[in-house]
Amino acid sequence: MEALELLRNGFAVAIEPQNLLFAFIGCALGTAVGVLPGIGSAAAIAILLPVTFNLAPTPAIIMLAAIFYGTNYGGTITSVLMNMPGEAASVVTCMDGYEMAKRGRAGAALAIAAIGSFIGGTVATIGLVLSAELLTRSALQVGAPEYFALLVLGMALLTGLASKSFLKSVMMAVLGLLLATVGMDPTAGSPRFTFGRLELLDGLSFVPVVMGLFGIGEILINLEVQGRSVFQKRLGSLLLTRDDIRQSVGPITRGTLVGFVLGLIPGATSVIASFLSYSLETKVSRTPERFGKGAIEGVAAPETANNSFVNANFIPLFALGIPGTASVAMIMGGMMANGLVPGPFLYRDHADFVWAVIASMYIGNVILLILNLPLVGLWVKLLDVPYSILFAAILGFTTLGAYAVSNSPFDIFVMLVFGFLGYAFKKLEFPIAPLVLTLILGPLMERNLRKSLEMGGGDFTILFDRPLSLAVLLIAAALALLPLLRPLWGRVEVLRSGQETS
Amino acid sequence: MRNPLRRSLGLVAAVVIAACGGAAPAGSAPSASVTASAAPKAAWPAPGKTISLIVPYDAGGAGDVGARLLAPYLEKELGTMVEVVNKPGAGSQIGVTELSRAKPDGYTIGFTHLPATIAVYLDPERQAAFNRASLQPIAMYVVDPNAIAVKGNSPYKALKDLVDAAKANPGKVTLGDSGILSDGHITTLLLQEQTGAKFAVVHGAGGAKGIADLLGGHVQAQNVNLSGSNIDLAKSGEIRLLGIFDDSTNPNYPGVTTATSQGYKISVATSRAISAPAGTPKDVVTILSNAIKRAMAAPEFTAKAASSGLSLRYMDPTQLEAYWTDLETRVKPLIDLAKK
Repeated sequence: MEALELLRNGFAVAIEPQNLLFAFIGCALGTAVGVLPGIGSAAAIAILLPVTFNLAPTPAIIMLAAIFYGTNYGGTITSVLMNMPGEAASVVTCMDGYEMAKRGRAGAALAIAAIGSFIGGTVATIGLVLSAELLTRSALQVGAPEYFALLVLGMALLTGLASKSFLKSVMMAVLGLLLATVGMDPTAGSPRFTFGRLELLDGLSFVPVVMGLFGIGEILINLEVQGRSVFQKRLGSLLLTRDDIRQSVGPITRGTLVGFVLGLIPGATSVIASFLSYSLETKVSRTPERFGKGAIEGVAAPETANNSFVNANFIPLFALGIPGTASVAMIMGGMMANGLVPGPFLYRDHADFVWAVIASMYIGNVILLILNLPLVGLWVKLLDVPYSILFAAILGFTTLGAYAVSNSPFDIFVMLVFGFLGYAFKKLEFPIAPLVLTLILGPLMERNLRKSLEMGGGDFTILFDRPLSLAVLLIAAALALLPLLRPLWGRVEVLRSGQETS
Repeated sequence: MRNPLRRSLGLVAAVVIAACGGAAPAGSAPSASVTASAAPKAAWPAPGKTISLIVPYDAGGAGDVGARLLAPYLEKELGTMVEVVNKPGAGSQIGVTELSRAKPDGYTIGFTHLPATIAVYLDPERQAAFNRASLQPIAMYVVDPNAIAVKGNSPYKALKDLVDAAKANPGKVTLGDSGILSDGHITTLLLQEQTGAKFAVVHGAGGAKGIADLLGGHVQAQNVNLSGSNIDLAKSGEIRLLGIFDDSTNPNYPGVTTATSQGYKISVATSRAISAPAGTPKDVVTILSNAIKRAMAAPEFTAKAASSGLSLRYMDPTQLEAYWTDLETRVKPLIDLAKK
């Protein structure tokens, strides 16, 4: 096969010492950026972009790509150990990852996250080898109406995030939607709920809100338990039990698929990928009650999905020059500055470069696996730092991270406000995850609905005229109605069995 | 107990230092040679004082990459550091507001994209805290003309085909742009005004996402800019440009005529001008503008700009002033029209 031959040549280039070194630097930096709360891959790539203008293009892009996919490995670590997401995409991992750590199974959680990430990342890269163009063309069938339908489906899956109280979950979801309306109207451009504040014109920044709700909220809660050991320091075995593996096969497979498909669609983010794959698991699981109490599926699925997502994100870039996320847009900038124009001629005109970068993704994922598994023990040692120092350090990093999103002191204020809110929510046992999910999905839903209506001349039927959009909406409706119909169905069953016995 | 921790922190530090170390020679080498040769013997800028270059858009966008490409060459000319600072948000309103409020000493300059900046301060709903008088133009950097593109297999071959289709089915032919009062939307409004055609205007995210909508068949036509990866998409036949809204044709798009030559006298571009806060001393503005001019002429820079698809077009403060005024007069009547 021609592709495999080209890939073999790519490997020959990728293992040249210089390229290998830059893949390693990228992976290590990515992991570090992932561990540091608030600082995301986009910021790291932006800082390093000018450096790459002075490097040869192949090692430069290998490094930037490695930072991007490496970040999702590192983001897991603080989520599991401290209930503080290092990366927005790891928010959902907190729910079961931290619970696993509390039960002394941090080792298993981090191990399955690394393994899932590896599988997701490697499998998604196959798309770049086999048929980047074909995949991109199919993904382009997803227009605004289909995207809107997909987001409705995401909302329907939301019930899977329900905590003890379904009502509380719905309240938090609605609060998230309300907060999502702050900012400029996406179509007409008029300000909404900004109270004349310039900083609110773009809505509430996602990272400071999440850092506040999770990071600051968690610190405040922990301050209540003085003198006692807050975090579970027992790492537990890194080795997965047979049960762990059996339970993770399905989530990793589905996580890879969800991440891969969303990675192809411009405008989706890895946060959406991880949330949807988690929600999907709670729906397909035979034991949904285990979620939120340390189910390994709740770590395996989202961690696989976000890595599958980032690697699949390169497919539309390489095939048609369409960057799906901010980080990939920056990598595109780095390519353009070196005369490597992503698009229809990239594979033809710059075969050496493309195949070396693809091969480096396989190598990078191996490096990350090696980097992450043995380092797990080291990361856990972080928890030996006295809390007075550890909390101060986390506060420092989250503040820095919140500020760095758009170099705005206002975002620090947002983070603090949401920190106190997060504390209150935790005390009152209001689940935070539904709020975070609708805060991400809300603006996307609005934008795509209104864009659909513009496409259809203001007519809602555009949502039902298109087969793909109709199909997804029907699935969403079925999912939303199922819990309501179940009691009815039960009654029918009872009646029927009653008739049979009589 | 503590050792492994220290080691792990050390590792992170080492990595960060390695990265910074990689950056240092690239940045510092030129500036060392600078002070001796290129920089004029002027009191401004004070050596060692950093000049902030505000980019009111996200890191990684086309505007940002262009700025980061220019910064090192500008450093060479000015003999001091030039730091790109991203202040994204609200369609550049946040960054430009900050620029207009900065101390007018020349150490804070920034990008004011046109017509985006004009649309922000002219639209009363935006409640902008700045206006034309708050900004002092320094230099034009990039002028990227607009065009309307269709998918390669579209039946429309020229602007007239698209206009005729929109006339035959008013409000049914979809034409995308990157948002209300964006350069693309202004093109659409002018085209509607001149021809009486009525399009179904789709305000998308523009740029690459607009291209994705076009290639996916979700819009029938899309307002695009000439630079960047669109060149290859046109060359490969994925997209076809119906007409260029500029005074002249473009060598990257052989066979595509200007809108004017097709009978539509419309000229729209997205232009990346560099401005300072109003009140910046005149001689400082001159020093900055000349430095930008020389940086833009450096052969090494022009080669990189060409491969990035940047269409460089320098203008001095007076020329930019005139360009700005002309554009403002043309955009003003469209503000109310856009909201309809």
